[in-house]
Amino acid sequence: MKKILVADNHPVMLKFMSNLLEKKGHQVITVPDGLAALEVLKTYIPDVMFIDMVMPNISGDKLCRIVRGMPHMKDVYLIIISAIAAEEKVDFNKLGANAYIAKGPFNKISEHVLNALDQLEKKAPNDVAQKIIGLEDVYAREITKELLSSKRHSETILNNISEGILELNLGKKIIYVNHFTQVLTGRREEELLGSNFTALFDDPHQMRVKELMDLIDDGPLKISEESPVILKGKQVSLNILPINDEEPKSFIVILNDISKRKQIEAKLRHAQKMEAIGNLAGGVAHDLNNVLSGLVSYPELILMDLAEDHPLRKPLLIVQKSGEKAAAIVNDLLTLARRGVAACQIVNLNEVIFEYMKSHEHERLCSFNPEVEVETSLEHNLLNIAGSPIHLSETVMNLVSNAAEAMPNGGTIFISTENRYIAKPINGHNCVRKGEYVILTVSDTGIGMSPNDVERVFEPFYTKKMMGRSGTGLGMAVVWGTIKDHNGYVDVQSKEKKGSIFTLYFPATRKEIIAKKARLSIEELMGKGESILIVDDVKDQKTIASEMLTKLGYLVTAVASGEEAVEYMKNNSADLIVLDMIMEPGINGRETYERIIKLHPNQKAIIASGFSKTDDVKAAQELGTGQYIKKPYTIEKIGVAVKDELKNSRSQLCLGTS
Amino acid sequence: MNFRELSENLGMQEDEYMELVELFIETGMSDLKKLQVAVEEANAKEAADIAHSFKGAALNMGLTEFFELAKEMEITARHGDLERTAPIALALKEKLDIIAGFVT
Repeated sequence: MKKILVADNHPVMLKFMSNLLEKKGHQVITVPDGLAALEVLKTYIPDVMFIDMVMPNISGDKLCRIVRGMPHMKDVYLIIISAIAAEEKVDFNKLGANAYIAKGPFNKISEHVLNALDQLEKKAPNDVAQKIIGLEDVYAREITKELLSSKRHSETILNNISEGILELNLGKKIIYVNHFTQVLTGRREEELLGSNFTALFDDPHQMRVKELMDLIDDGPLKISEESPVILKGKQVSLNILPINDEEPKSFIVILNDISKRKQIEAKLRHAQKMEAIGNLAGGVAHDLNNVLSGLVSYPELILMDLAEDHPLRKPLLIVQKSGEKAAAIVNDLLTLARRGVAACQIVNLNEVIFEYMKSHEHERLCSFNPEVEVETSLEHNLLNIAGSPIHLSETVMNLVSNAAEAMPNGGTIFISTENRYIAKPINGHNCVRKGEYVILTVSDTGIGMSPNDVERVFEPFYTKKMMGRSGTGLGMAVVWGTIKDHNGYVDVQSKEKKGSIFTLYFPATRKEIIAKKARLSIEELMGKGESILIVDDVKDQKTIASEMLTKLGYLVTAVASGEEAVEYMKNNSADLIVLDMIMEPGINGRETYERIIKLHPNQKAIIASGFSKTDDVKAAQELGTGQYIKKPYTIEKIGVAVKDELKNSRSQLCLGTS
Repeated sequence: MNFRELSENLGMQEDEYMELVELFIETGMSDLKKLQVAVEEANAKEAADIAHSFKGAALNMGLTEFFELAKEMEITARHGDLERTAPIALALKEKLDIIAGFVT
């Protein structure tokens, strides 16, 4: 007596097989489809299975593969019983079947079934059939070939689309999966078929899918792209479509992997946010810098006239320092706006760190956080980078400050530098240029960050710090902007309650640092009565520039617009023009210069602007102007620029950094 | 319809064969109803699949006339010619009714 399981969708066939085999003393269980067979196999291990090829809810070929994949079913004798053999070539090895009987009239089927069972008695159970039994009793039917061809056509389409397609039965068990579903879930078809659909999803999302599936009636349902569920760490949207024209009803599920799109959208949102801040910063920077000029420049002028022991000297120095600090904040905003941080100086990061460690800012940070220790491990012979020392220093400061605040109960901040050759992608950056890099690492032993915090740490105004005590929420955003401006990369590793590691990669340069010029004395800056035309639409600016250059011994004339300047130059000449760039609503600095050089072809000029270097500045420089200096400027800065230009020996220009 | 002869041809006892005939009628009636719905909804694929299943059972049972009609029905449906499928389904239904009369 053998235990036999018969799977066939036609009741007549099941009844026939059951009668035939029971009469021979076998124990027979019949099921109408592949899924029902799998249910039975959970508690019943047959000796023999007869499997129809064309069945709903998991077809015969798939059922064979699943059964062959079950370790406890390895000895089951599988006999396929189907008319398909007459229509298409069957690969027994692939299916793992032991015998194949072609369907025909019952008397023939009966004969072949009993023969196959006789063969089983004589043969080793794992012999694979080489021949289709009873093929001579059926004939190839063109129409069935068409059916199979049409099925293959659909299968080809379904297996080549980039959406996961599944079919579920009423019990929400999977009865069909296409190729992409296997890719998406990382599981083979054999593992997926017959399994519970909701179990595919990551734990917290299973309940959401289950609740949705419980709601399904006749209409389609979806989990939209706006609030996707997580499957194997990927964000997916779901469309569930009931199939109403069949009994029992089944469902088609379409899975869309939207992870990449979500990532791109997040990057786009981030970029838009940065752009918005950039616009804001760019918009206010011009006016703000003009306003700040008074604070930065006047104290300098006044201090020149004050005795060393004058009681106003100290307060004036404070005013001057405050003005410079405010100008630095505006510069922060401009860094974020990414509108041209001058990053062409050759810098050594070790020096930047040394300077920072000696700074007042660092002292203050240490006094606020007495339990925090700072340790450094800096590579000797660290390569130089091309960069902006001010912004790099701020980057170090912001990273250290961020680390200190992540350790409310104290801990250690490690700052290290090293040279490294990068040949492989850095975590999170797929397109990293190969080459030598200077690595700056700032790590802490603090509270660490959640993955969400890590993702958002560089967003402007994303802060968890105590408001009022530390920055504006721009600190880490400035770090990000600076890294981008230096063509660098950043990797953040963090574990909650363990700490965070910020690793910054800056492209190294083999260029040497140019020794800093010592601060020039006023005597060295003095002019020799050369004529200077100042063109600026802001009255205070005009006054400051006039006073500074008059003090330096120049003969100064000032006008309030480009048009006035052109008019003046028609009947006069100037050894040099100090040109503002944006003078709305009139013509801008570039256009002014363009008109003036028609009158005086080799006219010398420098540009002074509150904006970072714009395309107009570059265009004006291409026309022949000299240096660009950013407002607010010191007397030394404008003095050097004027003197250089008059000598016609221009300083090194910082091109291409915006 | 000579059921004895049919059962003998298939090497079966008549009562055993009749049991299968009853099942064939029951399943066939249900299939033809589904096929009618499929034709009304112009769902040619569904109609062809049902016809295919019906045809297989007829072949197993040795019911040649049913087999031939079902084959034709499948061909018409497979070609989307549902106007021709419908009358064949009707003819099959009538034949099923007739043998149902014999059985009861």
